[in-house]
Amino acid sequence: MSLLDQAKKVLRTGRQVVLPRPEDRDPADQAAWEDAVALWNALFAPFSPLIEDADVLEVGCGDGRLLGALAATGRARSALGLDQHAYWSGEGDGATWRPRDIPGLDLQTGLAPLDALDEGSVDLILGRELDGLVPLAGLEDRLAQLYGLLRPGGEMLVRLRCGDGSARPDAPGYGFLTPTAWTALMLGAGFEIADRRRVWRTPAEQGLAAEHLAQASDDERLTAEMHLRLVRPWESWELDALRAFGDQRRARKKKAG
Amino acid sequence: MSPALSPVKALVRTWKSLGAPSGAGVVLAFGPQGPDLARAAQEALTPGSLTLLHPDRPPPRARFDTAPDSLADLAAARPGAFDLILAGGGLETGDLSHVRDRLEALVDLLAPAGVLAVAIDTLAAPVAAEFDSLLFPHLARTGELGEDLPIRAPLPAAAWMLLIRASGLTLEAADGFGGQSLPRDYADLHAARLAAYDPVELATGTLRLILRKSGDEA
Repeated sequence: MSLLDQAKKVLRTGRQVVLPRPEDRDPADQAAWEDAVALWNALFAPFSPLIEDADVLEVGCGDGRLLGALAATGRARSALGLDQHAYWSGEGDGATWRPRDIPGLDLQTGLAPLDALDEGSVDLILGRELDGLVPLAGLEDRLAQLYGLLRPGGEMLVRLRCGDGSARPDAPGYGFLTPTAWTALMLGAGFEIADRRRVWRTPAEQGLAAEHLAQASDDERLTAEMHLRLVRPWESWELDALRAFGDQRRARKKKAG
Repeated sequence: MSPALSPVKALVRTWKSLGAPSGAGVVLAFGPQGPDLARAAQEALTPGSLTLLHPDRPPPRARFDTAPDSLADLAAARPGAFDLILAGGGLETGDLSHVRDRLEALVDLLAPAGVLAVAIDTLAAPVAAEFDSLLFPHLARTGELGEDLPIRAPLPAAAWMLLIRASGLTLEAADGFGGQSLPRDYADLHAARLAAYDPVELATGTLRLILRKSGDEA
């Protein structure tokens, strides 16, 4: 079975464990769970992340159902979700549900809980709308913080919307971040890019993009969003420490033997 | 044979050839070139009055004033006061929000229909004649490539164009698009790392632009 199939099975199982049978469910609740599954399939499943026994953090978790499904299978060790509003409690027109019924799942509002986490305590970070959640002021520091939260070899899967030159406060990509700008930001935070997918602008958006970015390539001009699989690599000092630890163990064994 | 033109004089002449107006009424200049930028602007653009953003008093017999303020302070004190602003560099240093704030302050300082002439080092421009920051941005950011190395916001040319548009400025003329090719040894040795970036963006290092604020001239 491929990793993609495994991930889909995880979600299916999670839904069966957590949810009442579809016929007993409120239609709004049912639709919200269906949306979570669709989101998973569209954004994260194509990267086949390792979920089993992982500590998962979702930055911008929406109503938390996607994370809830991952936690409910019992395969994720822990799941922490953060968002600006408690959509899971009905804020912002979210469809209410009961996250506390799922062991290991913790949903909180705001980004402040990130500051309380230990470095190297997370295996997988999910981010579906980073630019909507993290303010531009301090963006570089937040990305460095997310990098630091990952264990060596850990992954961050993110959807990054690209700018279109608009000045609205909620403009995608803060209005000006292009695919290459996002790439440079992530590399600057320390991540390595393991995989990259693009979603193209709709035909209606392409004319404006061509006008704004006459000198740019088609890829830069026409990318509406990028989906990145980012890896937090082992750093050289960590490999040195690992090597020294191995040397010490071998020396002790040799002495004892 | 005429003596070689200094970099700052060449920059101002480039701006002039791109359409920076001569004889503008009230002009502001700033950049790492300091008083040399003001002198070059006096010579080539003959402004009515010229203020240089600089912490020191003007040298004796200088035909310009200095203001010690930050851009943000000056924008708060004299909004819409300048017909022409010459930004010789430094716009791109620091974090993204600093860059955006700096550009917004410049827009605030410009009079309606005022002109901003800028020199911008994009993500792909060399830092201290090297491209190590482009290849290893994480090491550059953590200071491991040298603590004195300026940290530059990771904005390629296309992102600058979008930021400029979002700030309410219109591009009137440009020099530098596609004008750079990376040294062969970098391209050969680090092709895998460079592949993360769009190749067209890597071809634009330093941009010299003429931008205009919307509105009618007084």
